[in-house]
Amino acid sequence: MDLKLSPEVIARLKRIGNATLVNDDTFSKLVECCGSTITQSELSSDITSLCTGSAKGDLLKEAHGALLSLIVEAVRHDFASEPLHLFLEKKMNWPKARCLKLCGEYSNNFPKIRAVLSSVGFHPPHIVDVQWHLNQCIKSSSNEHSSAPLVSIQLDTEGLEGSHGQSSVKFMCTLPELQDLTSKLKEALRQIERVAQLNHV
Amino acid sequence: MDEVDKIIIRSLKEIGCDIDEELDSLRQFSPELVVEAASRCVEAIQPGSGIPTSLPPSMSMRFRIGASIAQACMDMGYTGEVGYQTFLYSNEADLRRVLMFLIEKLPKEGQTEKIVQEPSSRAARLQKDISATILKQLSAPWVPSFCKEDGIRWHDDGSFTVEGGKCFNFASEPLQTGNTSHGCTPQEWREYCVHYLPLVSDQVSAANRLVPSLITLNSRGILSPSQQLSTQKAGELRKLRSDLLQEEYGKFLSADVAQKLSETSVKLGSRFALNERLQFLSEKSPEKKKQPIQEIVPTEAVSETSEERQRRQEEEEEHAVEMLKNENEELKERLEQLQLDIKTLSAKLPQVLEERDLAERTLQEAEVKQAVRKKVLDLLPDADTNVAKLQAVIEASTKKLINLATQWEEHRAPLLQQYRNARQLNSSKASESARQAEALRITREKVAELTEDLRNKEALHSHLQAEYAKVSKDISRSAYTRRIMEIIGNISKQKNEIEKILKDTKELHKEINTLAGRLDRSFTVADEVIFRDAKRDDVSRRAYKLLATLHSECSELVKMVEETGACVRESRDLEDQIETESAKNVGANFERISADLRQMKQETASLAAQLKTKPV
Repeated sequence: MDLKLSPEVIARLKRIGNATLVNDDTFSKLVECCGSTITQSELSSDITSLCTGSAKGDLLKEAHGALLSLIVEAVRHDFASEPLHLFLEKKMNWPKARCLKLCGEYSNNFPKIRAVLSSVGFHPPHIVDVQWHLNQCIKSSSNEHSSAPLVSIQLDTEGLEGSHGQSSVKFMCTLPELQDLTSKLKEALRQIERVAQLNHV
Repeated sequence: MDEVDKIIIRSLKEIGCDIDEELDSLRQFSPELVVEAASRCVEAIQPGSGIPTSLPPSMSMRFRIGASIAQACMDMGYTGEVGYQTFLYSNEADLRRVLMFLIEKLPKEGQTEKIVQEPSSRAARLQKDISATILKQLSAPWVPSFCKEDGIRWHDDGSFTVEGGKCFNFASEPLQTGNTSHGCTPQEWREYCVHYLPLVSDQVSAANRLVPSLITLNSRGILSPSQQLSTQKAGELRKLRSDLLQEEYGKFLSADVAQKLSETSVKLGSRFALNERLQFLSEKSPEKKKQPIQEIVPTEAVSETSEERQRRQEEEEEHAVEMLKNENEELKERLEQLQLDIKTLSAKLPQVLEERDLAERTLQEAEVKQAVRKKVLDLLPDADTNVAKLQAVIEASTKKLINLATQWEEHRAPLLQQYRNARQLNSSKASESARQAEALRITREKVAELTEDLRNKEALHSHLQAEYAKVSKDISRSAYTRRIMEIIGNISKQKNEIEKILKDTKELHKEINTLAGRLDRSFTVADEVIFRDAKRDDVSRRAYKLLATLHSECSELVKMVEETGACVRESRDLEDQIETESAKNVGANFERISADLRQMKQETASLAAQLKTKPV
């Protein structure tokens, strides 16, 4: 498998490898900045001031964009750091030190960037927590004397459609219904355990 | 034991041990070789055990390797005594026993292939990954959601699993990079890029849209060559459309009344301009906002001034075209007429030719008839003489005919004979050749049969040779079986001898017992007799005493002899033991062990020193 990059990005990456256009100090700042930009963490080195102050601002902005594209594409295609190193050195003609610098930063941030990528798209909501308590129903509007245990359950979910952050699903159920629920959950767990054991027997 | 050693060495070579050709007994094995052999055996029996095949220089590592091999042997069910000393300070007999056990356990060729095969398809790998991930998730403890950032749980090995958190739609936004100059001069564009263009990451409205936007940008860049092609096509299309529109407009004008022209022209012009503008609006890309407006202004002016000129020109042209068309029509009609004429005439031509042929033939016939008639008319005046002459001529010709016929017969007879002979000869020859052809055919068949036979034989030969090559490897095997048979024969012979000796011994025992019994009996008889006399006779009493002492002395002697025998046996046992102990070359091993101990102590000391020098 090969990295698929647009000709525009490739041309810019080749320009980044040129030491006369982008000096080493700027390069390392650029690389650090790219890593933190994608992972949405705090900027370790501020590149904006670097761009506005310099006459090569356009070049730096281009380089920044190209590096971001490169990193996102490489992570998307699950590139390890060695093939990336090879790609940069052979096809982009980068000097070895720069390849090492970029690959180091890349492999440091790789899992985080993958995590960011995994959040793009769609996955079903997750149940992250559960709270329950047992109630005893003594009296109701239709029944003067009754004594039925009721369980109130609150499932905390994340990623539910049309909600921000955590939201919860609340419901009450009688004991047979609770038994039904737990047996269903146990069945699901067994199914998952079977899948897990499939190749480890 | 030589054969056993040879078999062991051969088996070890088969599993890839590097053993010198000169070695032919386990006694010559060095500890390194022993460890290599044992670990290779273990690796072959249980792939993936991960025991190194070479001994490291560090003493403690050596012990660990020895211990792990020993443990592997025990796990495989070796019942004898085994430990690191078996491999590091090898004793021939123990080593032989362990190696024999391991070689017996070695998998056969068919089994090894089964073990090596593992699912390697993509689906299988994916399934494995899935189950591994689920296993990881199942084995991890539950963590409250506020302990996870964005619902992502990080495992110790750097991998992560999504357990909650919100996911974002793939929403991308167009990003401005430095390559598109929107109709302004490069200088201005550069100025903009340097000072005002925000970073790519600042261009998106939300941070989670950056990644989709980057992916879209790159994909668009990859696809751009085909896009450029389509813009070119769109340009052509646009041009074509504007041409059509102008034409329509011209037609409309020519159809319109001349006096209305002046008042409508302004309106129409504006409509045309509107059309044009709409058309441009529909096609322009968002990037080209400035361009179309500049273009539209001049087009409007030009269209209004050129209307009249265009109209006049069109009328003239139309007139000329009409004339030319008429001319063309006429010419075409004439041409068709002429072609029709040619066709009818050419159809008539063969008929006419036939008629001419017929006429010529009748003419020739008539000429011949006329010549005959003329001759007859010439001969008519002198009829009689002419008749006589003619008769004479007829007679002469009949005579001549007869003469010729006889001559013909004369010549014909021998020629006929000759022809017959030749035909006979020919037929005989033909039969001969047929016979020979038959013989040839039979021979050819035979040749084909033989070649087929030959080929079969050759195939068989090569097959057998291959089999022979395969078999020849196991010559040693047959030798071993022969040797085993011999050994079995020897053993049975020895067993027979042992049985014979046992029988002899038993007979001897029996004899001894009977003799002892007889002695006892005779002693009691003698005792009784002498005892009876001893009461009365002094001599007898002395004799009785002597007899008693004799008996006791003799029994003592017998006991002594038995004891001696036992001692001799014991000494022989001890000698055997000494031999076995000396075979274990304890001395050399002890020296080696003490040297190793010293080395280990040194290593420990150096490690301790290192620990000390390191700041805490």
